[in-house]
Amino acid sequence: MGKTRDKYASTGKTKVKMTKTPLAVKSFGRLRIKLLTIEDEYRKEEVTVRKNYIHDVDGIAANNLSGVYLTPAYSNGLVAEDALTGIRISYEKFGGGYRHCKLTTPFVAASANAMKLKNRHTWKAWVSSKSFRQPPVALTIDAPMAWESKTFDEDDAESEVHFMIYGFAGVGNRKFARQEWALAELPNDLELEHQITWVHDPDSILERLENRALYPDDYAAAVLFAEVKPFRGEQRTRLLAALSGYIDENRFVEDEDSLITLCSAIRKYAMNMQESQFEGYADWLLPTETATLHHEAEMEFAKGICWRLEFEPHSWPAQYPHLTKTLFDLVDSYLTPRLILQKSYANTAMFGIVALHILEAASGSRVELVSKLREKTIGSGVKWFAEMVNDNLDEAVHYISERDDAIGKKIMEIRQG
Amino acid sequence: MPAQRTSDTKPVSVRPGHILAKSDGVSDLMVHAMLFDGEKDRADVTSKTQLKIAHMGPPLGNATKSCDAVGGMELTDEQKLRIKNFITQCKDATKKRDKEYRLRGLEATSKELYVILPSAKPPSGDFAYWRFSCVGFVLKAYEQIPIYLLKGPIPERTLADLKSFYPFFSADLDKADTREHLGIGTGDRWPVELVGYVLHSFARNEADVIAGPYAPQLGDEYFPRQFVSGGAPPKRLFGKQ
Repeated sequence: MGKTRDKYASTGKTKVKMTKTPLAVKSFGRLRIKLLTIEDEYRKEEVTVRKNYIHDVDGIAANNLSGVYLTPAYSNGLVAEDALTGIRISYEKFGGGYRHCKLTTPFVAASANAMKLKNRHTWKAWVSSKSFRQPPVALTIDAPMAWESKTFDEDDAESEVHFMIYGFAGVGNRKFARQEWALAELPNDLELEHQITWVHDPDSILERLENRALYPDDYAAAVLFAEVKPFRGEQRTRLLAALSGYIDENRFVEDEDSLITLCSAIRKYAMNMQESQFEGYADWLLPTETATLHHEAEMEFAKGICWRLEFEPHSWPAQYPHLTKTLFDLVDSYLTPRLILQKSYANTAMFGIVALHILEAASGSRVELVSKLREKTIGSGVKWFAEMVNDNLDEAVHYISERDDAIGKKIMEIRQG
Repeated sequence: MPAQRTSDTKPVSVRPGHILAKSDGVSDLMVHAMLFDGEKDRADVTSKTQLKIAHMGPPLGNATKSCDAVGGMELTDEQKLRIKNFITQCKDATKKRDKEYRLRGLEATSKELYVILPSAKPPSGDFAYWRFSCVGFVLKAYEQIPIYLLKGPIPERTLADLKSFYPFFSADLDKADTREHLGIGTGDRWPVELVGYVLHSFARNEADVIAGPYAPQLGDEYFPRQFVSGGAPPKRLFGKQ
């Protein structure tokens, strides 16, 4: 354990002990507390520190923590990304030296706050004791290194890193009106990790995408980073398998945050999928008896297959009857003036129609579904929509003809009936 | 409505789908293009008015900004709807990804979806997005209705020129890999589409805008057009005039 000394006692307002835990920082990486469990009791305005433990992941001990107050001091990053359970406190710029935090645990979701102490390289994060309806079993801090980069530079490469964990009793951040006690001091088993580069490395991203036990936020991050990286050969196969599982499990999500990640996964999957996966892709467009896709996800699925056919090469003649039928049903259901003006339905229908033109052209035979949709489009009386479809078909023909003039001509034939 | 500058005092009108431009703040050089994404017409727009816009910032998405110039034409409700649909299609995950980068102490790379040449680049397996410059985004929006605003030959510009046109990328433009990513990896002069060109396209009478695109000239990067700025030597036009 590190040395302990009084740090803030001189303020006369709070009496806190500061634990000094030397840790050589070799470079800018992340520091991770694997899992922290504090076996202490909090009673009203009084904190009784009984015992402090730092456990490995497998050594979780239940506790009675009702509130916590953390100070990562002189850190240049503290992340417990792989914690299986626990609290995550993340910070966002809030202006004026304050930062807003969002806190989540597997058990509760609550707000949290952080503040940089004046003239100190110390950040405090706190959550209301009311936030914890159940005791957390782990506590982690996610501290963006960007904050600290202003404080630390290469000259600080060997700086000592100090961490303090305080318990508190009371509500909110009435820091001068309450007492704080040092609960734990972090020994030298803090791990220095060099994980930052994974976001730029397809293999490292894949490792995370294949780890379904990853904390959901971390998994979502891996999906997002994957979208803008190239995956080749075996990497692409692994990527598709991982994204497929993710889409399968999440295609009915409805909250905005999850939808962004889902749509990212859909785009990446669609643009990389093999032709043998087209038919399976269609299944994701189907509702179940109890759930249907959010309209944004539905648009993304339609856009995904449309862009895949338009911008990535594919062989022909080839028939995809299930995909064709599914897209037809989707478009057919939205081609009414009542629906076409709502939500993303116009875009969804438009992408579906363009995709169906390409599919029919690539099938080598006429299936007449497209002509039915064309008649319905014209019959709907929504002129601007028919024009939008035509203009996007022009664009599709332009890009496809650059790769394969014959298919481009075929699409034009189908379009002209 | 032709293109015009905004001022601190005299309000101008802006309608949904119109193009808004930001200057570099010290001259008439226009450096950022946006689309007005409000619900209703506005007749009170000055250079200080905050407007809801859609743009390729980067990142791609909505924001609230003021503008130093506006340009546009009479749009039908159908045309406005199609531009709106286009904006809806362009949702991406850049903001969320940037947040993740920052959480990891990494420089946010919202620029990863930005491309200078061509001004609009189709999606691929590697980048499952349309990539745009700010100009490319508004040009693509108008292609939806379909109005084509610019045509070649586009004046070619040097790296030094580009640094002034893309102040947000000034440092990046010195890096070979970033320039490659932006589409200007090889060569020393590039025919990039600039914000001022779009304004000059709208500065024509409306029939001409509808009839066909505008071939920009040297100096059109400024609005109003000029050939010398801040004592800098006149820029040369490479290629045919």
